Amino acid sequence: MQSGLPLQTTHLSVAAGDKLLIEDISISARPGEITAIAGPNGAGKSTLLKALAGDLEAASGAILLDGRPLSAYRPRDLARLRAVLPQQTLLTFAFTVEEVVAMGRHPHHGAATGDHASNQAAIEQAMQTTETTPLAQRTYPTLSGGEQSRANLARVLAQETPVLLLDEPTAALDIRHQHLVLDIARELADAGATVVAVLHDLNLAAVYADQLILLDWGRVAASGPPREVLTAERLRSVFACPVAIVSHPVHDCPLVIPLGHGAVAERSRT
Amino acid sequence: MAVAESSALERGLLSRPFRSGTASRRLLPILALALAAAAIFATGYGAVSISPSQVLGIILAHLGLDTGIAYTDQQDAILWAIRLPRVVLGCLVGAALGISGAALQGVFRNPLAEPALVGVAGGGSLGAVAAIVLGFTVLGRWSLPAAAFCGAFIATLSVYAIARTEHRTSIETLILMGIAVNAITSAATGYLTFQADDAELRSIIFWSLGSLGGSTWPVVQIVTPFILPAALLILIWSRALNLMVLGESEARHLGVNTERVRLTLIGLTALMTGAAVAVAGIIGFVGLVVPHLVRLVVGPDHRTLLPASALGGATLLVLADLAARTLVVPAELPLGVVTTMIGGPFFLWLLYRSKRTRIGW
Repeated sequence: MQSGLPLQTTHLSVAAGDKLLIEDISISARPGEITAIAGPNGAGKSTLLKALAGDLEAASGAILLDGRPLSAYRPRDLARLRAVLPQQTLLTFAFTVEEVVAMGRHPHHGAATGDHASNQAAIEQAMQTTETTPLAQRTYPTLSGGEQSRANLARVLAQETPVLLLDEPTAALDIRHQHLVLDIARELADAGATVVAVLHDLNLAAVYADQLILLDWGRVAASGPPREVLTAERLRSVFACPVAIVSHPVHDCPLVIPLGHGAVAERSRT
Repeated sequence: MAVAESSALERGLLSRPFRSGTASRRLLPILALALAAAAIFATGYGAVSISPSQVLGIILAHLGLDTGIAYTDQQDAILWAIRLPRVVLGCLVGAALGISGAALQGVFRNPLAEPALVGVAGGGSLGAVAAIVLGFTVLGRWSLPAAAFCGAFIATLSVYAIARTEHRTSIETLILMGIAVNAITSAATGYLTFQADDAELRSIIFWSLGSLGGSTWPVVQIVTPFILPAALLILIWSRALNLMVLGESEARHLGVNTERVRLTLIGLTALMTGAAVAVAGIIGFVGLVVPHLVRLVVGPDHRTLLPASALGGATLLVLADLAARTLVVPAELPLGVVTTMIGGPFFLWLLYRSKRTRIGW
């Protein structure tokens, strides 16, 4: 695996029709780090991730992978450099899990890294890491949502790219598998990969992210280490929901406790 | 059909939640043998009976190999001039419909896709009926096939061209465009049919119910260059088709130029099925049902599915045509009626099964 590919945006705006979905976003996802994207519904998290994946065209600004504009890469070359985990993949036809994971090797087909032994090793490794080996011969449409999600992660890992873009990788998972997935992301980052993940759960972001980008109304509300970004004042204004921030009892990071609307009412009475 | 909430128990009871992926490719030689057997049987069966060994003997004799197998001149004439071109054309048309259906179901990620969906049948009918009613005879006896082919090809490409906006096509738009273009062509066909006289009506009905009755070697010669190269070219894209089934953006993220794959495959299938419709009329359900039947046996991997659907489509059409010409002798059933009679109930069963087991197509 190649490592050390930074992914940046400079003054990036993306539009749908004449409505700007994200506006003037300048971020930098660095190799060796997990960059988490968080924010309320409709803040533009998925739009930003799709733009980073090359799915959406920039209305203005640029997206640079290793200093080169994303559009300058050929699709096949790009596929050897970055993998994308979508929120959900629906499969109409009954492919087995192993066949789905093997699809991740497609970009290596015909390349030096695409020989049978490397393919087989990458597929087995990816399934082992995601604990999907026992599901290998199961057909994808018969899996539960969480199992499908891990099978897709295995496919993305089998792609063996230095850049990984994960759209809500923990959404369909129970707590053990949430941590399994983010531990995998951590290991990849420690090995030099550039990992960008949309995370809804601020506490997962606080534990795992090196950099947290908080979006609000399509703009960057704050970015930096989670402990600097996650302040009670800022979260209340961005999410319109009062929170308390305490110290995590085990990890050296903040813990966000949403207080809910009851707290608003109570406070206004006192 | 994703099943997010099915319980472990229910999943355990599903009919085929497991499938061995490697065994499936071994089925291709078996399917090829089945096709050969069906073709030899169909060639030999009829008012004048020709045994399988005589069939082989006559064919080899025409290829310049004397096998010493005894046969009469009448058998030779019937086989070579009448039955064999018909069986060969059946193979070509069936293979074209089968592989096109499989490819389009993959391109559209939709188990209901078939050549008719993107305008082949509607456009082909309009071309053929226009040629019959408006008296288009410039190309002699090739006038009707040429008009049908042009109609099919133009309808398909216009579906694609209208659906393509801002350099991308959405599958939903494409399917809706197909429905719209089919509606327009069938309205135009209806108007022309309304204008037709009795003799023209007979031709229209004969054509629109499908038939291999007009098969001769020149017909085989003229459709082969449309169907055979296109079928072989489609096979090149089987790996990309697997990824397209995963999803449009997923395929792109894996390095597939999805727009090019789609344009190429729609173009190639339009070419093949346009040629098939031109010489055999409307033959329903082969393109829809054969890929499903094949998928049940070999699984969804297009590297096996595409060639297997070609072989399966060819076998089905050869047998259906055998039924069409022998069930009600001396008359002949329309081929499209036979294929739809087989395909319709089978499709109902398929829908019922997929609703019951929910394991995906």
